[in-house]
Amino acid sequence: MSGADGREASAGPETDAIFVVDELHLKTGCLDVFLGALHERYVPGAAARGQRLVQTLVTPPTATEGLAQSVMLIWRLEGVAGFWEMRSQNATPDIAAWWADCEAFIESRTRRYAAAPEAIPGFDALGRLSV
Amino acid sequence: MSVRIVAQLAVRDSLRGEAHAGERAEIAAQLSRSGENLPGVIASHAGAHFDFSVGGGDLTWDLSFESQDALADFSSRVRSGNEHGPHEVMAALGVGDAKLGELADLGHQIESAEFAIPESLAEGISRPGLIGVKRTLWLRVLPEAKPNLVARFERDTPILAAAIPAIRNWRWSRIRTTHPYPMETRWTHLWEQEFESVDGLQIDYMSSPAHWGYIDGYFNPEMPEQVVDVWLAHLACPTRAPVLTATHTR
Repeated sequence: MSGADGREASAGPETDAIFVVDELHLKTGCLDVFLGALHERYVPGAAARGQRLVQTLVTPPTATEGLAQSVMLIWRLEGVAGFWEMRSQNATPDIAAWWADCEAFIESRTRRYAAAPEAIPGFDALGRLSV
Repeated sequence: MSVRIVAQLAVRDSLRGEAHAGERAEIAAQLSRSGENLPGVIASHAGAHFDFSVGGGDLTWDLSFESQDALADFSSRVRSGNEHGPHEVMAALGVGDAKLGELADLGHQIESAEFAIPESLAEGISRPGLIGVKRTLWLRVLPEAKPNLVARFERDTPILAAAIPAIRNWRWSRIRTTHPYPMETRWTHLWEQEFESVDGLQIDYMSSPAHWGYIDGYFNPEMPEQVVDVWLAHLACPTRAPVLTATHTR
């Protein structure tokens, strides 16, 4: 399903998949240097934690000089177990340093967790076993 | 106004480990009994933590008081004992009362103790009198956290109780930091819950998307909205009597 760097992972509709959605608003002219650093410093470690990159999108979709761009990264985790597997490994100095260093490239960012609409009833039910 | 104290106590190293679980349970039982003899205490419950607990002590001790004055007196005793070292706290609680000799003796088994007064932000009771499992999450909001995010975190945390019916009773509190309080502590908040069984905590709570998909963002060091220090004390123990509803049944 996925290569070592996570770039080939599936974004398919399986109902146990959890998606991490990053939106990063870049400083003008930082797209190439950010993507280079991302793949060098963050993607391999994320894949090792079970967080596999499935999509990279850029908006606006133009390299017009002087125009700031935003990057949307979509990552995949293998279910609730995959989420906690990732969370058990992400409080490290290296990861904190990565996000701190990102401030050189980005104005602001958000990270959200998401799932396919058809997956939501199943996920909610997992938290309601002891009704 | 809160009239409760919640404490986490760490036992001596020689009482740690699976082989000494029975001794820790006996210490908890003695603490429960002795606590009932403390002046102004109307309920005392201590429980030895399950082995999956992390980040804190070995026992949780819950005390309810009849009045603010009684709470202040207890806090004063803790403060005076703590000036001479953590292990002196238990001795200070027992000073001047022969009935509390057992409590003073227990001080020799205790390596450290942290006491806190929870000031309730919100609470919910759906199962008064429940005897099952109590989980106490001690957490510290980062000093540099943005006030608007902290306010949102405080407002959002009870969402967990709405999403996870296994949380039968709960209380969400700030820890008092103004006089009278028992001691300085690194912790700022307590998130207390009662479950019927360990499964409610280990399965329902951990599996709920309201937890991993939303509230965890306040704890996750990779999230821009992180406001909570990564060092948490996740402490759970079996109960022998109601804890969060201890005074509801009297």
